[in-house]
Amino acid sequence: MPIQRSLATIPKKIIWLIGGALLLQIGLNFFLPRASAKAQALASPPSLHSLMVSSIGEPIGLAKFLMLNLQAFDNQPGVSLPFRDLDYSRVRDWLTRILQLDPYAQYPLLFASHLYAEVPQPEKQRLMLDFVYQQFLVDPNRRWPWLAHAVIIARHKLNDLPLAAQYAAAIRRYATGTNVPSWAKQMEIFLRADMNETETARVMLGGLIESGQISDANELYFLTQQLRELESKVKIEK
Amino acid sequence: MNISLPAIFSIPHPVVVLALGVLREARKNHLARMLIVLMVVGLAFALFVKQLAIMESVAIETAFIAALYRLGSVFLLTIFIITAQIRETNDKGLDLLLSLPISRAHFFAGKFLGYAVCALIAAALISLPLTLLVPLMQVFAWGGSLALELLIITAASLFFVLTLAHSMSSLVSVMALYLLSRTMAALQLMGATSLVETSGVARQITNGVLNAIALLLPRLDLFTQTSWLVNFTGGMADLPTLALQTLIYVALLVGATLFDLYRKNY
Repeated sequence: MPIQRSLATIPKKIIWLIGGALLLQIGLNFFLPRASAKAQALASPPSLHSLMVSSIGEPIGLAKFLMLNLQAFDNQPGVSLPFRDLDYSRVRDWLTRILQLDPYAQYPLLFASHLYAEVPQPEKQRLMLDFVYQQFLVDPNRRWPWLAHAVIIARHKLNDLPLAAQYAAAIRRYATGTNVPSWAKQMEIFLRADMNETETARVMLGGLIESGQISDANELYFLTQQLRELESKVKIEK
Repeated sequence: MNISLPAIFSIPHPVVVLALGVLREARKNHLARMLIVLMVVGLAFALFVKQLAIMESVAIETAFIAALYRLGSVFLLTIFIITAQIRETNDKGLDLLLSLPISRAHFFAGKFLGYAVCALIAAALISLPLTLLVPLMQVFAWGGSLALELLIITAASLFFVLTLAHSMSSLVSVMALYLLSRTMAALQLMGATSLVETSGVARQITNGVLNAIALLLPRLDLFTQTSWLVNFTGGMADLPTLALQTLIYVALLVGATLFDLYRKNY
């Protein structure tokens, strides 16, 4: 027995029904309103307590999901929002919540320092840098790379040497782990030198060399040279 | 078999008998009970979510209930239609029915009528709890739209289950059609503004394929919108357009199902 019967067994009216309905369906699509893209404002994040309950015992999983959601927020269907149009205080609140859910995450700090802080709007940049600074203080030995980047932004994008020096000083003072490279700890010295605080820079650099923390011979040589230059500058100033 | 199409729409006795058979099947399968469970679970879950919200608690509760009820009712109805039809096929009930002196069009009309009544009852039942939270007219509009959406799902479920005759593939196909129909508008918008730089031709081809598929799908993104309940945007005024879309798409699916039904050898 054949699996299918002949096409002739199908009443012509069924063929007409299919053809007519198909044409109407296609025609209706042109008549119906087209979906339009509307940018949605970033809402405030729920409380940490609410998020913890909503995570059903998977705060890290929820944190990763929320980070990706925040990351994609500038690309809503049909709309590409510039970062500068985002409400930065809300972005900061979301990033804070994500870090509270997953304190070991580096992603929110990477986004804050490398992406959100790169917008050409000084007040928004300062807000993000402050966020990175506050979060650095929570866990300096793990979060120092992001504050080191904040130093560079403060120095070269904002041209705010005192702010850059404040962040660099925080790295020197609080990021004391063995994993923190010496260049990060030395940033403040060179910033002080740039600020014409040569005496301060000289004292700091001398202290660093004398402390014995520098073990690499080349590095020690380079820093000693720098110290000599600073000392001669100080003499000239005097 | 000599069939005239208008006979599908007039309701002769065998059609009513078959439709009543479907309603009996719904009672045996506890469809109403499952819908009530969905309603209660939805209310309990929404109440829990409401406790977590610090503002707009009623809007959040309504949005959760509406989203859950919409998806839940579509899922329950699809499962019911597919399992009922597969069981009938396995029990040789379909063969028996088609051996009786009724046309295949009457057989289909009876089945569709029965399931359509189930869909309308489901939409009415599931809308009831929302009357506690939202103005009545908005609930009418939402429920009416849900009924139309469920009619499309009914026709789609019958089309796939009678064509594929397999529960798993039918269920996956209906869900794929449903999800694609609901997300197609967003996909088209995303295609229009690419996130990643692609060459012009590749993008044009992708968008062309997307747009072509979209022409063959019902615009479910316009149906049963939660914003009608939460923000009161839209409502009864949208129903005629949605009814027209339902009529056309159900006609297309009915035609396709009858085409397959007439060609099959049982």
